[in-house]
Order: sequence, then C-alpha cells, then structure tokens
Amino acid sequence: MKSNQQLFRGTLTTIVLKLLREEGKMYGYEITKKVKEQSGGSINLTEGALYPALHKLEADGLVQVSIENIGNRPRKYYTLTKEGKKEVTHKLEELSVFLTQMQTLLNQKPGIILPS
Amino acid sequence: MPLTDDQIQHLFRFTEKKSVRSYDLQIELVDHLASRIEEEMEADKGMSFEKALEKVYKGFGLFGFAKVLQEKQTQLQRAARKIWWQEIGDFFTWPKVVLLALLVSVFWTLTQLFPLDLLYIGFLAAYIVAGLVLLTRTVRYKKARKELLLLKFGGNHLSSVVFFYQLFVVSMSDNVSAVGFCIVATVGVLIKTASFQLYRKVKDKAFTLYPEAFA
Repeated sequence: MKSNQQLFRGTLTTIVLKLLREEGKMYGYEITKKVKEQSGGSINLTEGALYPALHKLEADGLVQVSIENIGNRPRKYYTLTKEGKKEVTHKLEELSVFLTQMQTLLNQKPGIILPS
Repeated sequence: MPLTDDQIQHLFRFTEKKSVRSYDLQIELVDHLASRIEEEMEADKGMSFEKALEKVYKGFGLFGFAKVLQEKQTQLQRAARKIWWQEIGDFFTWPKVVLLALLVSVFWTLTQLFPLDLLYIGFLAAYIVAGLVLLTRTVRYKKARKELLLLKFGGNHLSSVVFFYQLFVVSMSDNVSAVGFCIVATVGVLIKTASFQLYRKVKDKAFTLYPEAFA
C-alpha cells in the first residue's frame, strides 16, 4: 500500500537527520534515492520538499555543508554538526513517543485497529 | 554515463533562465538535475539529454525552482538573525561580559566629565565614522565575481540602521540622562560589533565554500 505523503511531511526532518547519522556525508539526490530505497518505493521525497528541509537544517546549525568537485561539476555534501547529532536522538525519541500515543489512541476506539 | 562539460554548462544556463542566478544554489540544482538525467538516460538509452532534462525538471513541480529559491533566501535570513543575536548574547557571558562592564564604565566616566548633549553628538559622530571604517574594511574583502545568495541574504542585519535613526532622534531631544546615554552608547557598540562579526563570518564561509566565485 502506498503511504500518504502528507503524513510523512511532518517527519521529513527526522528522516533526513537519521539518514545523515547513518551515512555520514550525503548529497541531495542521494538522500531522495535512499529514502525511496529504504521505504521500498512508497515514499517519494520530492525536490520541492527536500531542499527547503536541508536549507532549514543548515540555518538551524544542525547540518553543515562542504563542496567537492566530482569531475564534471561541483557537489554540495551535507553532514551533521555536533548539535545535529544530539538532535537526531531527541527527534527519534519524540517520534517514538508520538507513535506510541497514536497507537494507544487509535486502538482505544472501537472498530479502529492498527494492523500489527 | 556521466554528462559532458557542455551539458553541465547547459544546466547552469538552464537554472539561470529559470531565475536562479546565484552560484551557491545553482551548484546544488545543477548537480541534482545532472544526477537524475544521468540515471534517466542510463535507464532509457534512447532518451535524449533535452528530453531527460524536461522530465527531471517536472519533478520540481508547477513552480519549478521558485519555491526552493524563496525558501533558501528565508533560511539565510534566519541564519543571519541567529548569528547576530548570538554575537550580542556573547557579550553577556564570560569572558566578553568583562568587556561589556568595561564599556559601561568608560561611558559612565565620560558622562561625569562631559556635558550629555556633547556626548550624544560625539557618539553619533563616532558611530558614523565607525560605520564608514567598517564599510571600507568589508569592501576590502575580495568582491565575489559570481552572485551568491549567502552574501546577498546571509550577511546583513538592518538593526544598525534602525538604531542609528533612534540615536539620532534621542540626541536631538532635551530629555537625555547619564544612564540613558550609557545604555544607548553600549547598545550601539554591541550592535555595530555584532553586525561586523556577522558579515565577517559569512564572508569567510563564502570564501571557504565557493573560492571559484572569487577567482
């Protein structure tokens, strides 16, 4: 089942931060490919959503950029800052609490049961 | 198959045609377009570069690069405000708080030695001169050959102008006090220092990330 893209919009920052923690250094298009790969193709991270999210993370001091020449063009890479690494843990905890609360809430309503 | 240099230059011109003239954002968009085009052309060997570009550009939605450009400008201004306020805040923490205390003491001492209206005018003149001196120092930074959003939106803060206007108005009024002068003068120094520090940090970042823009 394809996921509702709207539901993932609020978690985009968390997704990007987590990927950067796992992979170390990534560039924009690489992030969209990884998200699609890890979600089995169900999440399609659009350019219009990704780059504003990355630029906001940079403005917040959670990621830093570096430029490398890859032969025929320069490429901008993103890595987590020290604050970014702390923030990933915080964001994942927040999301975990939210999911638990949603699970509890929705499982309490008769007829609405989340698939296990 | 990697794109040729000509095709990459075509992408730079394409972004410019689509109203992205700043080199720092162009790099990111060109790399994204190029990566996707290379993948499309690899998957469909018969697809032309132009067709692949048309398909990939559609992925940016109805408004193309406009949203990305607008958001980038907004975030740069946010980052500039954050740095500016951090610079001001540093004066209230160790060790710069010692400097702040010294500054206030100096201004207080001046109020005991000179008439207040003279001090206000003197400070106003010094503020203008300091502004001009800082301007010449910043102008000495090598000018960027290519437009950078980082310099256009990330290195300015308008508080200096607002403060200058308020200082001017205060200096023309009769209700000045020694405490008032100390506050206005100290705040003026903090604002000027924070503005210069912001500009210096942003310019250093631009030099480091985009040296080819200054070549």
